[in-house]
Amino acid sequence: MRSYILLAAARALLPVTVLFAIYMLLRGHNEPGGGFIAGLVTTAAIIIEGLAFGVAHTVRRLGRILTAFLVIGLGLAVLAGLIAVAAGDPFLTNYHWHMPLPGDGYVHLSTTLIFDIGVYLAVIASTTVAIGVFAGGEEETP
Amino acid sequence: MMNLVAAPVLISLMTAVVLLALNHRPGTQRIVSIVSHLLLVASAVGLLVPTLAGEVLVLTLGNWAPSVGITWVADGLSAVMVFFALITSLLVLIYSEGTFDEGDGVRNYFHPLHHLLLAGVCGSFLTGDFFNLFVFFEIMLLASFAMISLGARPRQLNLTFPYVLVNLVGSTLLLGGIGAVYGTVGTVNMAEVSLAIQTQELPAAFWAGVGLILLVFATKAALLPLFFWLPDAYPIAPIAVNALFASLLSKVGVYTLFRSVPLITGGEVGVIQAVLVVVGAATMLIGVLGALGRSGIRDILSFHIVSQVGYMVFGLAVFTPLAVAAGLFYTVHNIIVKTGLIMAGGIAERMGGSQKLGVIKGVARTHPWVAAAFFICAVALAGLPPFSGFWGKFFLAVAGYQAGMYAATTIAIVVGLLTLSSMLKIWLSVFWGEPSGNKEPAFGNSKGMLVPTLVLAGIAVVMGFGGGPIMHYSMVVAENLLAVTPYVDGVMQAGGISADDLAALREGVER
Repeated sequence: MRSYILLAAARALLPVTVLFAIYMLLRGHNEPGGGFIAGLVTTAAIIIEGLAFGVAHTVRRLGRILTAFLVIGLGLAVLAGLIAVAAGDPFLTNYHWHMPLPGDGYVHLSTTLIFDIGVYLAVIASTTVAIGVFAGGEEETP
Repeated sequence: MMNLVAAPVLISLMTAVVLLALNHRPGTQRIVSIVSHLLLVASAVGLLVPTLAGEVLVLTLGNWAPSVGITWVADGLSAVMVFFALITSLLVLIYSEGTFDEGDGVRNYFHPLHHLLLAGVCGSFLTGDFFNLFVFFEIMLLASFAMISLGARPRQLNLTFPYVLVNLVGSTLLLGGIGAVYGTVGTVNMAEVSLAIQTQELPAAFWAGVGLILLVFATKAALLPLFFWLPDAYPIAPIAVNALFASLLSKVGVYTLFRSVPLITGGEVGVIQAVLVVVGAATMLIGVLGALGRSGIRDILSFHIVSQVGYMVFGLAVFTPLAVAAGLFYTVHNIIVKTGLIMAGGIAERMGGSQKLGVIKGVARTHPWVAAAFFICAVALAGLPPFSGFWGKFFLAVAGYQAGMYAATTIAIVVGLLTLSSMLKIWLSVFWGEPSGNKEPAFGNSKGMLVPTLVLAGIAVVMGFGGGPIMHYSMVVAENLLAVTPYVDGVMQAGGISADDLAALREGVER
């Protein structure tokens, strides 16, 4: 069954949900949030998309991107750890600094953020692929 | 370079991901897999050299103190286990090529899963806290669940289901036990738990948690009466998977007992050791009798793993430096020899098309090298001189009699004879006599399968003649293990607690 309400809602929800996920990712350094939960939120958006347009369709369209997400994500997470190794500290040691902005503001940057972005991408890829398999992403669902 | 402690796990984890991405290019996949495995062996050598000199390498991940962060520890015991696990699994990896049929889709998944399994195994050897041990157990199990059902024949799924079930229940109990430990002492770091046992009066809930943890370790090691998941599940898996599991998985269970029992008892003999002596001796006996009753090459060899685990745990249970060193020697010897036997038996199975005894006969006439590899490993397993198993059994027997455990030690010696007879059962029906039933003789000449098998047999010979020096290093490792303080102090000092503070803490108790 094709529900036009669901179709329209999915279109509208996807960008908002992903934006919210990115917000969760960025606030995760000091407050509840982080890469893992942000990844799950993004996957939730993809699931709604899949329910509306067909899981097979969605997973097929995302297939290549998901593989790339998985590899890049795990790569970034390891890279964040290896920065510390290169500096002679234990693996995964965190470095952070304040980048001043014009005026009074500043941006708080850290190597943990790189790790978190890696986790974010890897979580999206692995959960979406798993759900695609369970939902029978191989077959065409009308 | 403390980061070296994490290297075996990180390299194998990353390799697993890369190999998965290379799934559609089998040629490149094999090369990457073997090259990175060589890197793994190199990192294991890097760990082995300082730790055999008595050093304890500690990596506090992300520079957090052990009480709040994650610690990785490499001492002699972990480094030895990592080294031999990696050497053997490299040989299995090379050997595995010949065990899958041409165009079998399964083989493309073997390599990524192999490295994922290694990440779990090396992580279990190198982690410094109980919770991460649980995590690495899970990684290892995840890979092993997929590997043991590779091919997914209905009969295979039937027989491996108990394996999955037992391990899932085991993981849940382990998590419960770790929860109880954390709830009562407020840490899961093994060194801190050990220090707390020595310096504090701990509630019953803590000991219940420890009991659960040890019970799960005993299940993983396949000790009596919790071994029933092993003998049916292993031989039904593909040959290479069988060889890999025989060399790695139950040894992880044995390692965790070697690691945790001295830490928990503070190096003193108590109830735990007494239970382990009885369980170890019974496991040896039941394992070998069960193996005698089986009628397939890998059926016999796999049931035999149970019996061998009994020896290793018996060495730990006697709890003198000589006995623990002999138990460790025996563990290492068994990793090598058991894998060699399954690999040699696997070649015969590939030639005959079935692992049932009586299908293929007279391999010694047609393929003497296969037979030679099997013979050396079988004799070594039974414990005859001059091969590796002799020293393990000899020192175990000496240590057992010295400690006054006459009954258990005598069982160990009798089981050696029964081992020989079960090996003869395979030898007489598969390798001896007039050749017949050899459908695919080409497998017996395949260098990819033969060379790794012969290398393992060669190591068994070298360990036999080099028993003295190897036993010397085993003694170093065993003495450090039983002294407990080198490990605990190594970890605590890496966390910024000075030697004086530690001494004061311990002295406070004595007063």
